[in-house]
Amino acid sequence: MKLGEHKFRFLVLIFLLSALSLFAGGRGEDQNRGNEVVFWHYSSGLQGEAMSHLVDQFNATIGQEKGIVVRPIYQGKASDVSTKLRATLQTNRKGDLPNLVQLDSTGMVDIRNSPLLVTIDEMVSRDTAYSLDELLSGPLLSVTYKGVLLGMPFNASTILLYYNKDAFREVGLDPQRGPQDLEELADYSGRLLKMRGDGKGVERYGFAGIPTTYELVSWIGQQNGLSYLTDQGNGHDGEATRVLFDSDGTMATFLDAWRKVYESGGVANLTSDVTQQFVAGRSAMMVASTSTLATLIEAIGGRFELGVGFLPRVNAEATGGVNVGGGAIFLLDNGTDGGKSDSWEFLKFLMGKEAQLYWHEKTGYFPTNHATYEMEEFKSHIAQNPLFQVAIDQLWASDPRVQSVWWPNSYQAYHEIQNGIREMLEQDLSTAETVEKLATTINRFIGDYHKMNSL
Amino acid sequence: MRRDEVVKAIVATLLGLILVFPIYYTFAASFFEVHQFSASPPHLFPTNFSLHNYARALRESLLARFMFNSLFVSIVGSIIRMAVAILAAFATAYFNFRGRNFLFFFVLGTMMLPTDALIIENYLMVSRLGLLDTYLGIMATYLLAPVQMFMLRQAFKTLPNTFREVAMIDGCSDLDFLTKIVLPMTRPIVLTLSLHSFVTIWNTYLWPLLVTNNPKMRTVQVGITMLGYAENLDYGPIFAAISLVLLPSLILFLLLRKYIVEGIASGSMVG
Repeated sequence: MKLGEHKFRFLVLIFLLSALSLFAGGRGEDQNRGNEVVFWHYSSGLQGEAMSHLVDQFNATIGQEKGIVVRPIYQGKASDVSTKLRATLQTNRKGDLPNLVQLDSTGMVDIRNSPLLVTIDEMVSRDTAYSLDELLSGPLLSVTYKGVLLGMPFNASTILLYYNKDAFREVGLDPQRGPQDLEELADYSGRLLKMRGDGKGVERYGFAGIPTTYELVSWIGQQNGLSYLTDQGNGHDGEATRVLFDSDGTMATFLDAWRKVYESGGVANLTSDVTQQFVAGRSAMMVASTSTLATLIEAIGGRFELGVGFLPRVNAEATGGVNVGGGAIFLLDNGTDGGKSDSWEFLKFLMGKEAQLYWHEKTGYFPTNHATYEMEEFKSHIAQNPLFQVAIDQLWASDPRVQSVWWPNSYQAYHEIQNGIREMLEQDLSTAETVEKLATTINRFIGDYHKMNSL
Repeated sequence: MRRDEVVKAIVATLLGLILVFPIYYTFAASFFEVHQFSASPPHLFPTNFSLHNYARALRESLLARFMFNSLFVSIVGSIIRMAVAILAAFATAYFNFRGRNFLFFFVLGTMMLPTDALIIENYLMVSRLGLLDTYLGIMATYLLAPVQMFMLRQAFKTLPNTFREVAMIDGCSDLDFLTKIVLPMTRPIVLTLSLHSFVTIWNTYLWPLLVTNNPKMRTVQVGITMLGYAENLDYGPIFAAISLVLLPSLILFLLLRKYIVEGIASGSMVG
C-alpha cells in the first residue's frame, strides 16, 4: 500500500498546511504603532477626499515637526462607525480602540458614559494656551452632556430645504423663495406635481421623503419656541427616561400639518434614494443636511438650477429654528499616546480656522471657528457660492437650545417613526393613534435600555 | 419541426439576454459619468470609455488586497469546513460508539439557532481571544457546518453496506476506505457542498465587517460596499470594482466551461 501511504501523508500535509495558514494572522503590520494617531471616521466621497487632504496637510506640516503621524481609517457610514465603536467598547479591550473617532448622534448614547472617553474639558484644562471661545457656542452646546464638552464639533450642519428652481419657474413660483412653512410646502407640492404626458403615472413629484428622527428633531424642537422629543433636554442633560412629544402635543401638531402636505397629492413617500430622485429631476423638493450641498452641486452638473432655503416652519408659533446636526470627533483612552497630546494636536488643527474653511468649501458643513468667518477667502467664497451661506443664516436664526436627540436604539426608532408616519398617511389612520403608537414604542426602547444597563 | 426549433431558439436567446443584462450593465456602468446614473429614462450605453472610475476604485480601496483576503478566507475556510464535515459524517455513518446519535442530533440542533442572534456573543468571544483583524477571526464562525455534515452522512449512508464489509475483509484501513472508496463515489455531493461553502464564505458581509477594523484585512464584500455611502450618487467606482472582481471568475468559467459541465454530468453516474 505504498501509494496509499503517500496519498495519506499528502492529505495530512494539506490539512496541516491549511490549519497552519490560519495562524498567518495578518495582524502583524497594523494596529497602534508607536506614535500613530489612529482615527476612525465616516467621511467618504467628496467629504472623504477633503478629509484625506486635511490629514495629509497635517502630517506634512505640524506632524512633521512634532513627529506625529495620523492614520485615518474609513469605517463605513456614521451608523456603522457607531456600531463598531459600541462593539469594541463592550469588549473592554483598550488596544482595539482608535485614538480619535468621528461620531454622529447615533453614537452618543454609548460614548457619553464610557470611562474610556477623554473629554475636551479635560484636555483644555491641561492646555492653557487653547481657548474654547474660538468656537461657535451652538455647535459646542450640541456636543455637551451634563455640562461637560464631550468632543469637538468638527462637522456641523443644519437641515435645509433643497429645491429645483427650474421647476419653480415652470409652475409660476418665485425661484428665489422656498416654502416658508408647511402650509406653503403643501401648496407648492401640489403645484409642482407633474403627471406624465399619457396621464398614467407621475413624471415629477413636488416633494419626496418621509420625516424621521433627523427632521423631527427640528420640526418638533422648534414648536412653541422650544420643545424636546424626550425629557432631560433630549438626553443632553442626563439619561432620557420618556418621550414628551405625546404629552405636549407637538407631535400631534406636526402630524396634522404633515398630513395636509401629503394630501396635496404631490408627495412621494420615499424612504431611500431621495437624493437620487431629486438629482434626476423626478422630485422638485427635498430636505437634507447642508453637508450634501457640495455633493449635490457636483451630481446635478448644471442640469438645473439648485435652490436652497430654510427648513419650512411647522406653523407660525414654531420659532425655534433648527438644531445643530452633523458629527463630532472624540478622544479615546486606548493605552497609546499618553495624555493624548498627539491626538489633541491633530484635533486642534482640524478645529483651526483654515481647516474649517477648507472643510466648509469642499463639503457644505459650516465652519465652527469664529475666525473663519473673518477670513477674506471665506467672504469671497460665499460671494461666489451664495448657496453655502443659507445653512449659516439658518443657524443664526435658530435657538441654540434646540438639540438633536440622544436616545438608545436610534436605528429602530428611526424606522419606527418613518413607518408610523407612512402608515398614517397611506392608511389614513388617526393622528392620536399614531402619536400613541410612536410614544409607546419609543418609551419601550428607552425602558429596555435602562433595564439592561441598570440605570 | 423547424418552426419549433426557431421558437425555442428565440425564447432561449431572450432568456439569455435577460440573464446576462445585469452583468452587461455592471461593465457598462463602470464607464458612466456621475450624471449618467441619475438620468431619467435610464442610460444604457457608455459614451466614453475613460478608465477614471477604475482609477478611483483602485485608489480609494485596496482592491487587490481585498480579493486576496476573500480568496484566502474562502478557500482555506472551505477546506477546513469540508474536512471537518466529512470526518464527522464518516464517523457517524460508519462507526458505532456510545453517544453517537446524541452527538449527531446535538450538532444538528445548532442549525436551529439563528446566526444573527449569536453575532454579539461570537464577536465578544473572538475579540477576547485576540482574533480581531485576523484571518482566523474572519473564518471562525464558518469552520463548523452542521448542514454539510448532515448531507454528507446521508450521502455516505446511501452507499451499499457491502462496500464497507468487503473493504474491511480486504484489510482496508478506515482512512483509505474514506479516501479511496467513499469520497470518489460521492464526488458530486462533495463538490457541490464545497462550492456552496466557498460561495457562502465569499459572500458573507456582516461578520467580516464587524471583525475587521483594519482596511488591509477587509474582504471584497466589505471593501466594495465601503466605496459607496449614504448620499452617494456616483456609482461608477463601485461598478468598476465589481467588474474587476468578476473578471477572474468570468475568465475562469469561459475557459473551463467544458470541464465544469462534464464534471457535473459524469459525477452523477454511479459506478
